[in-house]
Amino acid sequence: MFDSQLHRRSMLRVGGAGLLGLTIPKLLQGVERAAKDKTRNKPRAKSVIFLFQWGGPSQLDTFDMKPNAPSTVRSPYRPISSSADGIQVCELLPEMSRRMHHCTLVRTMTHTMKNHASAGYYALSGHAPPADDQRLRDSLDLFPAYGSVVDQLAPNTNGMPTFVAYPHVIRDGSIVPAQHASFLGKQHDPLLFLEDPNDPYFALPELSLPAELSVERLHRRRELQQLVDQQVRLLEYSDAAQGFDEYYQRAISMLTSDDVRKAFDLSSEPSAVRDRYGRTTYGQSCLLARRLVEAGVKFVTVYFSNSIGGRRVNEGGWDTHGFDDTRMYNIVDKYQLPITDQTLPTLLDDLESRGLLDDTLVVWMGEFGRTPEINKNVSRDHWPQCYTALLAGGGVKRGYVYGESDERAKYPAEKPVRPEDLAATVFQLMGIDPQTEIIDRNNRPLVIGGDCLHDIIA
Amino acid sequence: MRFQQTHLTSQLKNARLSKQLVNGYSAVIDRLYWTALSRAPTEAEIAASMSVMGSYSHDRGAAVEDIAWALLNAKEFLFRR
Repeated sequence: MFDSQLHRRSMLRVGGAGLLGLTIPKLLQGVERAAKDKTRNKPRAKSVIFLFQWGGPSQLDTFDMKPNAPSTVRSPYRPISSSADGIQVCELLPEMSRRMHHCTLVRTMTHTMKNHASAGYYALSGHAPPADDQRLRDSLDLFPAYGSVVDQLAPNTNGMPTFVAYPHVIRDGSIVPAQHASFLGKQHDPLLFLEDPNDPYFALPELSLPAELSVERLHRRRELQQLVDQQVRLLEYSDAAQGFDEYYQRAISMLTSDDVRKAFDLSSEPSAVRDRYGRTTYGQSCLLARRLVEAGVKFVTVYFSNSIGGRRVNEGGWDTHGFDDTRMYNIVDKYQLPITDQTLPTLLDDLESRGLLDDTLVVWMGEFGRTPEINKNVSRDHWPQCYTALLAGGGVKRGYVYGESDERAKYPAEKPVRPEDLAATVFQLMGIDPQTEIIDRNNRPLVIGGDCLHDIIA
Repeated sequence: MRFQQTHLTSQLKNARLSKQLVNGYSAVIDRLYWTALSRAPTEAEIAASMSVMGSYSHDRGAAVEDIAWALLNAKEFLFRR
């Protein structure tokens, strides 16, 4: 009975301003959450920065080189040794090669979804889609984004949003599922924005009050509201009103908070730092991720690109098939690899020098890898059966490789890792039991993760 | 939903307010309370509302908006049935 009423009333928002996805039901679930907190482990990672490499980077041309494979398979690029014993990376990632001592590579990621939409959903949710179908449509029956699960099970209490995602909504035709809270409810959606952090006037409208509403006026309204609340006995509806004051307090404090606004203020970063990250949308997005984590955001998802890309050298993701007479090795060397080699090492350095790397988990992965056999366009197609995920910080081992692929990086030679297993590991590192269940729209309890890779935890 | 909110606020604001303003602020406040909460304001609420009225010398509509906001966001409005 309360539910429909609350949804109707959830329209009421402070000053009419967009409220970072906060709605009343979120706080009304406080009691439920407190009970779930018992299932939590001690967190190793306070925060996660999830760098989603849309389009599917090639394992053979990045972190799982196979120099001894036949010329029809091996990369035209050479492997170089790295700062981690026994780990080689692509010669076009020289800066990254000097940071591999921070990283764990999982070289045996595997699943069977060959389409961007279904594989993307699998990678972003840790749940296999009902079918490997490019037409997979976003729906409230599909699993939520990792950050939304975190917001449900271990929400922030520090005034910062739990889950922030930007600067794209990824799609390949239709929107890829698992970029929002789905059946967990809109209150667990990320603070999502599409403004470009590389824009010199980058700012979030959600973080400013409407022009006619001053902070004084907002406080005046709030005072009167509190007075009205004191006038009546609330016992008869106290259950539903649980957390109500905290909701308003949190909403108002976010709107008026210096912490939130400051975290988004990239202009306060020294020019040299901004240059080091790279003056690209992705580079500045990663810098913003560091600022958000520093300010206490728990889960930051940065999408590398809005499209699968792969045909141009100035935009898009990693999907380099060689279509339209393009050639993979005339694209990745000019766009995806240089951006990666500028931004990712800078992020790791920055986190490390600020003492944040130990409790910030950085995850770098795509929805699949690419075919070991180089195709007729001298490029590579989709290959979900074996690809590499890179993790750093947040309690994972340093300079470590988990799992070995076969001689062509075609299949895992041992220790296959499914996306749900990686998801379980991320949850475990965040102190959330990967066996925790969440309830979908049909009241089915669903386990959030697969088998945690205890081996990679330091 | 946003429309409903705006609509209700403007109803509260425009409900023959100009005429009622002549009759004094307390009648306006009274009307706002009856419309939103189906009750008369308490003495403390009248005092607080009058003070909101007093903080706007020219824009009484803004004062009404503020009071209406407080009423629409009060637990009594949101949860009582």
